[in-house]
Amino acid sequence: MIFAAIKLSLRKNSARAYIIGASLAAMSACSPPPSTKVLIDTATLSFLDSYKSFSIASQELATATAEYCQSPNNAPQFELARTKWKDAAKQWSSIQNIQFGPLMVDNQAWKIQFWPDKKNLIARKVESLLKENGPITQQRVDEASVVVQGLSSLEYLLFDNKAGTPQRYIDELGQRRCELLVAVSEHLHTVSAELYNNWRIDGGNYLSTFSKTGDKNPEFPDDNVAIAYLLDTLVSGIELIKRDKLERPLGISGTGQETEARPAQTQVYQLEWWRSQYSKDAIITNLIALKGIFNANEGYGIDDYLREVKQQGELSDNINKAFQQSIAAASAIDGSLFEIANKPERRQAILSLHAELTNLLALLRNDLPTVLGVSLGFNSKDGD
Amino acid sequence: MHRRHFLIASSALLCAPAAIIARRELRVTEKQGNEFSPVLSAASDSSGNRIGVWQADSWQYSQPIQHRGHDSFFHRQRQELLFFSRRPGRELYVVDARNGSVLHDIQSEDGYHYYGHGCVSADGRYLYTTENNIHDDGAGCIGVYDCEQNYRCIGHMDCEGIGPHDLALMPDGDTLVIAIGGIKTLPSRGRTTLNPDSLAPALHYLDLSSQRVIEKVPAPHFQLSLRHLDVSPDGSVLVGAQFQGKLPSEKPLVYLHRRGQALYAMNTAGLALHFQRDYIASVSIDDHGEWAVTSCPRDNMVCLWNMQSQSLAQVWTVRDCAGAVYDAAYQQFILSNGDGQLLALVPGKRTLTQLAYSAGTHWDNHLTLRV
Repeated sequence: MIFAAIKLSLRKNSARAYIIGASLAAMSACSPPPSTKVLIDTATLSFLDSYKSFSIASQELATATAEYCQSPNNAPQFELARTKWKDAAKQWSSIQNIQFGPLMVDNQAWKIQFWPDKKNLIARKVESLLKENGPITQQRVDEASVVVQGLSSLEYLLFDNKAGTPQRYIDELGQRRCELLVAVSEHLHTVSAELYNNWRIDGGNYLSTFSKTGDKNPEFPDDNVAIAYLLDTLVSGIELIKRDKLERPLGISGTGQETEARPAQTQVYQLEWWRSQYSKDAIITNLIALKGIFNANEGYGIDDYLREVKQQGELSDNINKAFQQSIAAASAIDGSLFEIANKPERRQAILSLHAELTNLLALLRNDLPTVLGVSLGFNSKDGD
Repeated sequence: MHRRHFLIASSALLCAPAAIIARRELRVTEKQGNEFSPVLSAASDSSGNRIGVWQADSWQYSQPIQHRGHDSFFHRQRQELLFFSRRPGRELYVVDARNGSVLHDIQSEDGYHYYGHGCVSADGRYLYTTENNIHDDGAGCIGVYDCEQNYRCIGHMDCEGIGPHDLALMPDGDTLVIAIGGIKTLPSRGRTTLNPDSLAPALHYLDLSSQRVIEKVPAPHFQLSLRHLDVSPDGSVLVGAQFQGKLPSEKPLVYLHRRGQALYAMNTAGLALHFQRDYIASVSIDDHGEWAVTSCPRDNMVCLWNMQSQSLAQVWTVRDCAGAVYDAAYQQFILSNGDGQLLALVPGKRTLTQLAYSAGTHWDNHLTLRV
């Protein structure tokens, strides 16, 4: 980031070029090794930024639901709450795949998203909480099951075609429904703000834990171990999209082969965000975020590290190309996954995305670990 | 800690004078003493496979082996370390605990191979190992070795189950508890499962005096391969499963067993356990039977269980973490992983601390204490 700022000021003000050039030279003398640069830039430009955006989006969602519940007859305000939910779900998609740090402590991710919900627990638990006595507060939501917390519960309250309509907020139990909507939104904001705080330098400073590796570091004894977690994030992120977001709900076999003789056995209620039909958008954001992690967005990422340190520019380009093609394939799907899942004539677009993901995953899982000198799992791959 | 308390605490910290923060860090550093008892483990590094004892920040002694090792056992009475080969290995190394020299290099009997685990009798006279009787079409058995006669194999006991894996001596000193994995393999077919549709995983208790299986407890599902276990001082057995069917199974993977009862699925207590690969590697119970740890390397997860309430207490994310053993001297569990880390897990403490790190070393599945 400092370098980017200096580059910018160089362009802006050439008169200061000499001084800046001199300080740049001085800085490069003590600049961190490339592997550390990867960690610093990925953490700062990708992770910290994503947590911040998610925290802000959750706050805006909480504000929107609170305002709506001031006047539940205000239909446009209900629509605004839905839009803000989508913004928050989108920002969450940038974080969802991160495989380490504060998100993994005490299963924070489950407080944000309960999925897949195979037994329709969200509807059951939310409705039973509504029938209980006593005020519904943020604390009560916090103490309740994760099933009634987070974006999943809010999706039910805002989008379910029976429970998530404006009419339900005007009905006799409407006020109570509003209480829950507001309390869950506030709780989500608290969870997201805490995650962001845990990463911030002036908070839990996980940023430093991740980027300053070494003997004293409790989690990351050297840069390689930290880079291994980045690799895990990329690999398991693509695996999650391919397997949990496509194959399982849409009945796609691992190879992606389909014939007319054997129609796919879909389970559309296991699609992520089926109620809001936001599944495809979430996948696109996942892919953009994972690409951002690979590249440390505009900073010095694994892509640069591969090119400059490992002399693997071609692999770096291939991975970026595979990301780009996956994003393009996802964007090319017309309609929501929920809508087209059972229409054989429209499934080809989904299968094309699946094929792109298979290609991307092969690069990340087979080629990247070897080049980075990182094992994807010694005991996990071949234990006993 | 409640979230609100945490927020208040952290915001208070932000406003605190530098001196307070500095003192707090000092206290943490003091608490982070990375002492631990020496551990036996198999490992792999750039030079190949290795077995030995790791102490503080280096190998106290170690030696290369041809094949990959698996579990080990510290024979206290004889001050000998026993290292078992991973299936289908046939090697068993007996090492002098005082200086690391190899005393015996045992081969399994013709027609048998090891499954990677073993334990000794209460008096230290006999060694018991889980083995595959290849010529009997992969029937499982327990090899018996006389430690006083250079670990000569003196016979095999029928464990009445295919694929016996981990085993332990019960506190009564007369009974072995054996995790029957149920998976049939033959060396001629590598590690391929030959009976995928008819697995019969179970927990078997074998009476040493009669050499008979006296209790069989079937797993709740035929594909729930019971593989690793540990025994509490009160005789409760905690066993970890590895699912052999379509993943994720969403079945409980950790079970408690008491003699004469059915398997009891440990309660996840509302803490969502999101397994994708349904694979428990090591199981370890502390000396008081209060806490237990299970490692789940395929899900990069470590779980702490409260044995009294029979429920999940905490979950940590650790890459490729497999080894787990309780270190009573320092009241901590020691964990090992494929990234070369040894970590301390202290029940009640929110974070793990690093005990040692060896870049390029992949710690293999199990840890044993040399105390």
